[in-house]
Amino acid sequence: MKQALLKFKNLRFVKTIGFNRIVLILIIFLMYGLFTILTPILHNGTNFVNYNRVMSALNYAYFIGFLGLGVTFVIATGGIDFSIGAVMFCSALISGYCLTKFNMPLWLCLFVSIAVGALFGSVGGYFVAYRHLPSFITSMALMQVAKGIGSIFTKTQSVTWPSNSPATSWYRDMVKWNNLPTGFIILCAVAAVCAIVLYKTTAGRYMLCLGSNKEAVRLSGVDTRKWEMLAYILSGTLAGVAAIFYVGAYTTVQPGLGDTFNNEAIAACVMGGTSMVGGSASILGTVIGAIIVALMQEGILAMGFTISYQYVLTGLIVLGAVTADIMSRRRRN
Amino acid sequence: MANRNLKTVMKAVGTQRLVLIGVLIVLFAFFSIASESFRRYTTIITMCSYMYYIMLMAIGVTFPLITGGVDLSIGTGLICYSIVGSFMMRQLGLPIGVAMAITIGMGILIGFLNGVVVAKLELPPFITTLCTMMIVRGLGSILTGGMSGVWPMAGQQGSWFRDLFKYNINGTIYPVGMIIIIVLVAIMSLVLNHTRVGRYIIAIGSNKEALKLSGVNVVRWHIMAYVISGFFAGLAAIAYAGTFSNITPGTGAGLELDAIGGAIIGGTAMTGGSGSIIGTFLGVCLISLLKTGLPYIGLQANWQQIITGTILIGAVTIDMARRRK
Amino acid sequence: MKKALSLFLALAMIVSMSSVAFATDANKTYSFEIVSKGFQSTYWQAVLKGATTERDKINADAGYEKVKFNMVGPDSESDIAVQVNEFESALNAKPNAIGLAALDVNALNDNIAAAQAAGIPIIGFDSGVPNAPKGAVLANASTNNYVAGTVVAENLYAKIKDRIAAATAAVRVGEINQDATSESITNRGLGFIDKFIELATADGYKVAVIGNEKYVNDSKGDKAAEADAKVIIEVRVPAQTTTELCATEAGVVLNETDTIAIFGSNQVAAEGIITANETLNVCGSADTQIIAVGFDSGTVIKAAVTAGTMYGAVTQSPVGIGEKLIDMLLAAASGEAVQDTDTGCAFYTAANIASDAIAPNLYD
Repeated sequence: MKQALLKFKNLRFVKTIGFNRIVLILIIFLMYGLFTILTPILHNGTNFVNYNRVMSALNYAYFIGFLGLGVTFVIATGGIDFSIGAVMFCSALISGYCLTKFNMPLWLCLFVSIAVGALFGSVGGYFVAYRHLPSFITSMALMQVAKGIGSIFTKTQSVTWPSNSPATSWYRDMVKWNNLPTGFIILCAVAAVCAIVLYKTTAGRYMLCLGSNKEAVRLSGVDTRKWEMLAYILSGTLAGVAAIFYVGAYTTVQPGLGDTFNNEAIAACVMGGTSMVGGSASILGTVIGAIIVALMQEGILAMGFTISYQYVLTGLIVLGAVTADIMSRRRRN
Repeated sequence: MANRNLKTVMKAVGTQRLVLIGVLIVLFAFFSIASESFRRYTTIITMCSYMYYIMLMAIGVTFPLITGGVDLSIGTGLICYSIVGSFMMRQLGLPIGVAMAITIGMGILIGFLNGVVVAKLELPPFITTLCTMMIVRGLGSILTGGMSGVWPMAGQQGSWFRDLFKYNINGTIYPVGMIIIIVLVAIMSLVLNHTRVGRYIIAIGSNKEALKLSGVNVVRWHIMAYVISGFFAGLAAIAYAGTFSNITPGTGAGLELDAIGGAIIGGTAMTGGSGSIIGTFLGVCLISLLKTGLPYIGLQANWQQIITGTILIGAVTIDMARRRK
Repeated sequence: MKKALSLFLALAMIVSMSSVAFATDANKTYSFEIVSKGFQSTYWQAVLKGATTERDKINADAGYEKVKFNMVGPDSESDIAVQVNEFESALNAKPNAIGLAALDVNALNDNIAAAQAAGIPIIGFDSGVPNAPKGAVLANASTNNYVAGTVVAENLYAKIKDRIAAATAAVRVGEINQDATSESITNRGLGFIDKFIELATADGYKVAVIGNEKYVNDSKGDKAAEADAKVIIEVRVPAQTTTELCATEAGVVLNETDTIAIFGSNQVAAEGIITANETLNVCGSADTQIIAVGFDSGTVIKAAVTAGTMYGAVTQSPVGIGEKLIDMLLAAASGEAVQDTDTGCAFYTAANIASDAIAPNLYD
């Protein structure tokens, strides 16, 4: 058995994707199977196997996925970004307000959303990279600021994006068109771009280096500050993109929210194999992680449990994933 | 002569804390001048009432911060512990003394778990406590079947615990809770600076390796820092229940920010190795003063969030600049 | 390994599909899914109790398990995404009917349309499903929130009109709303303001409305400028719907020297007022104190009303809503006609809190 496993691990395609990622994909199927068996037993004889079920889980996975992709860059540099949830809502609120109250054209508002995210990312990135503030406290402070700005801009009211006529709601087609998961295609496309940036460009390589050995990079004399700031700009920008997919699925945003989504995006990241200590990140892992998080919520609700169980489970699973990651790193060293 | 006295005072209290005291006085004066309603005695009582649970959390979390870590689970934690305590009293009919013990006990337990994972398994503290935060958030709800919590109110059995924080003599309310807070601040300050526990915790934050090499059981003291944090979260749970009537399950995410922010403004560095309980006390006072005072000058609550966030960044920037010298 | 996995999945599918077959029964069991706004306040526990009691009664009368239901809700009333997921789950459970108290109708639009397409009737409850797509929601068992707001205003005005007449300077009436977005809260808030303006202007006073924009702009009636007004209605909305923030906002209004009355438009806001009052000690029923009025009940509010600290509150009929909901779900699922039911509201004070009319609606 061990021989077969070793042979499997050495296969070319397994090496490119990564053995851990394959395990994660298998976990998705296993979870799906588990929910399919358990749901009828636990909840009134209802079904889990269902196209609608998959679509609804995916709706949740998109914006978590984009948030996760963004925060992957930051975690790769050894930092953390707690502001992504609040920034996402702030972007959605501001761009939504522009749409509904200022009557700006839809495509412009989408740009506004991304721009707001990028702006927050720049501010955070500046303080962390150039002023050497700890990323943890900076992003937490930024989260407060984002919550406040979003609320002030819309005068504490919620914003509802249009969802009726095709003329005004074509942005929803990005999420789902003719019942096809277009959002998934876009997520994969963006993930591919992110992967190229992270693994194949100078910027990405420096980001990873910053995470694994900050001292060495500093001593080498290279000015890495702009690459570190870029990681945060990417995180903010992708939060702005996530905002579009959130409103595409749920249409209404309220000020003052966003905390849970932080945790879930970071959970997706960590489950996917990105190391919390920095230096090693997996874009594909983050996408798979987002799907696992979304599927888990869907399954828990389907089985008739309350959302509290999802919090507990997510916490336990992430703890497990991080422990496993750290243990394996220690063994390798 | 006066100069020497001033210098000794400055050295004793610490420049940063003097600056904080100065800022507090200026802000207080500003609010008092700007708003007539702010100038009343009742405003101070209100501020104190809302400050107790944050202060208790902050005192506790200063310890993990000094070791270079953090404890994010205190916010959702205090909600969870107080809901469980309420459940014990309302559903199981236990007396309030037992409920308080259970509340604090849960805090210690979660703190211990945090400590073991961080100290023994050596997982990064913030992802560990982030996970605990999520687990505890759902746990309270699950244990009590989703019911809100209410601790005994005036006139009911066990309502004496509210008198611990607010004592009513002839119609005037006295914030006796502050006495408890000041006593605790004094005790924990002594613990931090003059006991073995405190010195080791500071050492873990500044030079863990050296401490290990000197043969000390680092793991045990590291765990202790998180147990202290959990213990105070339990106390904060009681204070929260004493201030607010209804405790909603699943909330609490975000309460820890005020506590951690207060500690950092008070001079505890995120990198660890140094910190001050008195500084934490002043930092939380500052945040509470802002929270209480800003609505009086007409600013809506969302401005308050922006201002708090900006001040936090400002405080850390100044702190970093100071350290680099 | 791969073979085992596919076999496993196939087995899973067979098991799940066969379980559906067991649904057909001689005595039909109606299965309902109820998606509420969550269990944030004990109000929803009361709705659950009403539904449970009604279900037990129906089953006892029928002699078998005629009705069963599953009630879910997000942890907080801001968790729109979670409620959408819960509604989807409810839909997928293929119930005979769904009960819904929508947090946000727009977010649920697609799902409601899907329910309609699948032929599953929807009954709205509590605040119901306002602006739902045509024909999807058959009826609502809810409180008319605007009317509830006016009821509070009428009772409050009756209590303080003499004080307004005797006052030499302007007086302030505070209104604490937990948000400016949900249909129930905004309707109650606006109902209160509109009625108060109507009553005060009829007596010749000028009224100004200040504070949160939504309420200032949407309120009707003759509004004056703040400087000219005899009565100033100050509307405050916290940045987030948490207990702490509601209490802080209430505290600010209570601490003003010219405040004579304050209204909290739901359980959380009313409890915030009571919490803020614990340190300020300004509320009561005497003419020198601030008259506080609230909404719903719960242990804290009931105690405050009994003691007189809170002059009174409006109770909805959560138990009644739960009972009517089950009846309407059963009727809809059986193909009978259903109609909107206004489950009513009533103002209670220490005087009538124990009466037969009021007491059954109050909950802990």
